[in-house]
Amino acid sequence: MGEWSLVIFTILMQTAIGAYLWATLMKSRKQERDFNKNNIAILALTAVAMIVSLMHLGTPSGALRALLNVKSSWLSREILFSGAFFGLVFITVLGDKLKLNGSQKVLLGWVTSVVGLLSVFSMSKLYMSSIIPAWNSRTTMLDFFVTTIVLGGIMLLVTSLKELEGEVAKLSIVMAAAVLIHAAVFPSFVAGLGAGTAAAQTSAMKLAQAYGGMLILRWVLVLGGVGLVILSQYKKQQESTYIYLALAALVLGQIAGRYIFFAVGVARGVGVI
Amino acid sequence: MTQKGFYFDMTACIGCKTCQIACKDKNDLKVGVLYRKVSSFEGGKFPKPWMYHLSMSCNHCAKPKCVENCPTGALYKRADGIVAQDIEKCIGCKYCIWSCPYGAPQYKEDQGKVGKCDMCADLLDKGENPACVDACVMRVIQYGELDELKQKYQGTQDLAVLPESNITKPSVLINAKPVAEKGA
Repeated sequence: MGEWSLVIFTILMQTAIGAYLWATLMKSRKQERDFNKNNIAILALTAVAMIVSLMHLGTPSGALRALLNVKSSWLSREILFSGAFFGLVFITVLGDKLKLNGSQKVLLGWVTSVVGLLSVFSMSKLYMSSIIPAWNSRTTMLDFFVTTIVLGGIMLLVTSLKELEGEVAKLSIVMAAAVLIHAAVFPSFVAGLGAGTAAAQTSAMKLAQAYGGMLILRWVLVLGGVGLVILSQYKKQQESTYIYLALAALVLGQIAGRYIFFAVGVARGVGVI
Repeated sequence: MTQKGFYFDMTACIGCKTCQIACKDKNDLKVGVLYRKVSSFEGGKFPKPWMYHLSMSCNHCAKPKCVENCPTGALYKRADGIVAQDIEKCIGCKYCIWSCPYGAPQYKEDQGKVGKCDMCADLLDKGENPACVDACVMRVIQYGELDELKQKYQGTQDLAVLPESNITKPSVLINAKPVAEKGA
């Protein structure tokens, strides 16, 4: 498994984009929220993600050339939208210094969110356009968007719990719903691989055997994580303790999930139809 | 645009791998990197065991997923249909390797880039043959305009051991043993 850089890149980008999207939604409900801490954390995560992604390349010095085939390559589009997202977050952080007015900030918020979502969409299509059946599935897109919603949500909770007063319950319900939909679809995804081509069957076998224990742990952590977020609303005294525990569970669970995603990918090829 | 392709006569191939070695020599490839590879398949049981060999390189597909997915445009299709590579542009992202159903693009660790069969375009441009074609002792590998090869020889793009040809429309014609045919 030599894809650690991609595990980290995809997880960090999706977390940052999700946190920005959630912040924009929450701001639309109450203008005076500014989520400064969240914005700076997003900028840092996006910067780290892009630097780590270079480690995947055999020739990192040529990274900018990855933008040359936007007309047909989802990888080019992923880099384009991820880079644009970074730039727009940077402008968001500088918002006050640049003397942006209220409506300009709202516009910036939505434009950045849409660019972020396009980045997650491109990232999904990149893997869906491969010759690897375990990735070449709509479940990849579901996985990536669920990660965006869930890790983005927990990041906003951690950075801005006070500013979110009164909204945490709603946020936690959306996060739980996203995880439950993913969990509900996952068994049929594995069954589909099991009934597929030889490469797909090899992936299904890896999911059931070599990575079976890790897969169970992953779902326990992710389901437990959203459970802790919901529970935090019933234990207001220790709300932040529960939120931090949820952060640990969700981050570990999603990293395990993404590790498994890369580890079980088997390409079709000569003799491996 | 025309389309060059390879013809491979499986019925006469003896699996000597001379094509593989000639290719490796021509392209000066390191251990583990092969632009053309001979795979052998066997099965059945007495009194009807079977075996066949398949020599395969890049198939210079009509719909190459590697070219479509390459983020830098390093992989491109020449006017004669050959899927060629501008090595200077390659950044070693390996997305072409995840895109090809035939395992043609190969990662070269020492260079941090990917390389692949270009049908010995440099030799073709000088009026010579690809190294594998000239090296084959059984004369089972031919190349040329795919349309002309199809007029001259019988063959298929679909074998039991290959992903469906409609994924990338490979420019290859294989005269298959009956046991290697799809659904056999």
